[in-house]
Amino acid sequence: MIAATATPSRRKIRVLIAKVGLDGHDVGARVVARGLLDAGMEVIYTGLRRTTEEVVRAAIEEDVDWIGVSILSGAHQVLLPKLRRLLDEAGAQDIRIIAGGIIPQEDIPGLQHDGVAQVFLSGTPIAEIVDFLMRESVQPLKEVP
Amino acid sequence: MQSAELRRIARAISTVENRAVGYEDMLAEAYRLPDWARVIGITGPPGAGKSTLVDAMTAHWAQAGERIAVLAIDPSSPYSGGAVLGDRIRRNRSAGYDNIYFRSLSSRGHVGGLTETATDLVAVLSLFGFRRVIIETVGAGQADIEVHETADCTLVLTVPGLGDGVQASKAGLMEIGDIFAVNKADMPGAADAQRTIEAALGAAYMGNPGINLRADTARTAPSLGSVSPGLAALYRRHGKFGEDAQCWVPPVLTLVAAENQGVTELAQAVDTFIGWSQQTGRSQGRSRERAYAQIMRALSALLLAPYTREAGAENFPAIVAPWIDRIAKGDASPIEAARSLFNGTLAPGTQRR
Repeated sequence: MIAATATPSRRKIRVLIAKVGLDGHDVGARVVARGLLDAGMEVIYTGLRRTTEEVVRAAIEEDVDWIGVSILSGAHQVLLPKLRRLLDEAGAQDIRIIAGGIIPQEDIPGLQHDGVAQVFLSGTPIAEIVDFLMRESVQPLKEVP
Repeated sequence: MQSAELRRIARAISTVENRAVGYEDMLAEAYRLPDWARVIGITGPPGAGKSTLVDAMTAHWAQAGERIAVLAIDPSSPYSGGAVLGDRIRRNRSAGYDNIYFRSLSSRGHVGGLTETATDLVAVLSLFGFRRVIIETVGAGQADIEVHETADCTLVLTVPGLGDGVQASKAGLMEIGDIFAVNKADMPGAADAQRTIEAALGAAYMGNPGINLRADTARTAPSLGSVSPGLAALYRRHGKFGEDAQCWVPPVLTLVAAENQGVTELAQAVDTFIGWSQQTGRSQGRSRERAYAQIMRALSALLLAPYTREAGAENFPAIVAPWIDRIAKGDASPIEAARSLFNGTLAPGTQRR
């Protein structure tokens, strides 16, 4: 008898790439999306100018492991902590945030304190982001309960 | 829908998609439901406006208070297995509704325009109380036809200027539509595109677009022979003019999805077809066809499992490897290898594990 368990689980790392607020440039977000695809991840791209509420809803509906937020507008101090708070309120503590774009070095410790897992400044090689996600995803990549 | 409920739905879909622990039990329950969500499949070539139409149609039904789910499928990379899923970008009109659940899916290497688990996911969504599911296919073109197996109503979307009449007479998309629609009808050539599709349909269907009764007068004479395997399949789905009490002729509508023009009419045509299909019992025939296709797929996966290389693995399974060596050396043909494996005989010099 052939065991049905012959089919292995096919879990993949899922990442929501989001543009929040009023900035209209998404070249960086698209390049990162492409890089994560090449690493075998499933990337959901939201499109421009989404609210933090929309991003939280999308992340939950899509059952992602990560939200990657690209911010060039300078509103990161407001939007990123708010995103973390809304995720926590929705019971999605397991969905983690990375951020990229134009963020002053001195703001990074504060953002990490407010629940952003990592900040990748513009110019970061994609491989560095991929390595981080692969390494950090090991834990949550257990079976869905 | 509250966050907690959305999370349960999202997790259940992941469980089935990943074939994770518990998925077989969940499907055993879902497939025993007395009634499933109605499934509308939207297919068509890249750039036809499928995502924009899905946005407009979900908004239409959500506004009427329906609880509605969308499964939007995009292709996976054949090299990395990854995917960029961009169907959410077109969500504008439907963005504000709380009664819509939207999920982007990768085809995960499956050919045919859907993900392998599409029908299973419809079952699971039914379990969560959805009465209507819209599936948006990959949009790969002529080969993108599997959706007609899963959908209760298949909508084939096209746009003006894609090609001449030969495109319309090619096999594939033209044979699976219950409804056809020409999007971007404000562009030149929309009326031509509509006429071309109608002419192609006229070769197979008599009668007028929509529901025809036996007593109705035929619109066109049949230009193809009345008995052929291809037509027989169409008649099983849509009935045969002049013989069955009722038959369906796929209508060809025009719309401008981005401007929300013609969307209400299209949604009404979808519901007219689904109602007709259920009332005449045609939908039961479809369910049976779908069940057969699914059994075959699940069965082949089980049968092939011992011979199947895991995704990303470098080595071939030990039972197949000797045959691959022989074929590479010019010492055997693939069909000899397959027959031998099928009959349980081993390649010379192989130890049974």
